[in-house]
Amino acid sequence: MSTDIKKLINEYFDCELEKSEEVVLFSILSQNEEARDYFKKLNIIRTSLNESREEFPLELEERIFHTIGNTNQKRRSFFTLHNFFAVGSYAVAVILLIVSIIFFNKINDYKKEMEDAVNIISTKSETIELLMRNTLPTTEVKAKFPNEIIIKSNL
Amino acid sequence: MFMITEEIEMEFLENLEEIFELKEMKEIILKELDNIAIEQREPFIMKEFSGLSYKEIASIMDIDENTVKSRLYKTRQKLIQRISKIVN
Repeated sequence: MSTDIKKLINEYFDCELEKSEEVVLFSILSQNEEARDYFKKLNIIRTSLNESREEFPLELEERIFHTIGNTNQKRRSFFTLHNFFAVGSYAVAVILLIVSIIFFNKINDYKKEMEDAVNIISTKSETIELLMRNTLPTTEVKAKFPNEIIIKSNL
Repeated sequence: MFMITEEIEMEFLENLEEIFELKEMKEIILKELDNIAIEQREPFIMKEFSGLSYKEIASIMDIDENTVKSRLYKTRQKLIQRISKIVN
């Protein structure tokens, strides 16, 4: 019997065999006498040991609990680290919010200053235009043709 | 498909009653376990007594899952060799 079949049987006994492989194992068991014998012997071991649950070594039990404790500690430390990142990100978010409010206010101030400057410029340009118009001499338009047509506006 | 394993189990139990008492078999297995190196014995005990998975045993012993598998396999091989003398 090959080692692969033995490993399959071992995995079946350990409840670690996949469903798809179980089908393969059962077909092997139905055909292979040696595999069936190996299966029987593993079953003998399993059934015999089931009678002696009280004999689980204390030292091993301690080690298992110790490992569980370590895993919990790791989880706790992970959560503290996770909290640290959360607090850090909140702090950064608050700082960014304050900075954006400051920038928004400054931009509003600049906007007002700009509007004032534009208003001053426009009023000054109007006065300059008025001054220019008043300084120009009056113009007279004379026709060249004998039949004069004077067009007057109704404004 | 499960019928095959059930049949084997039934067959084995009937035969076993004739050949050996379960408790005596247990003693032999435990004795044999004492002769096996602790590195190989521990995964077997964890598997058989507390039904831990390969992954759990690997994390407890800080070894690879494949190492767990091979150690279990080797331990079982030794036990099978031992009980073969009685069962056969």
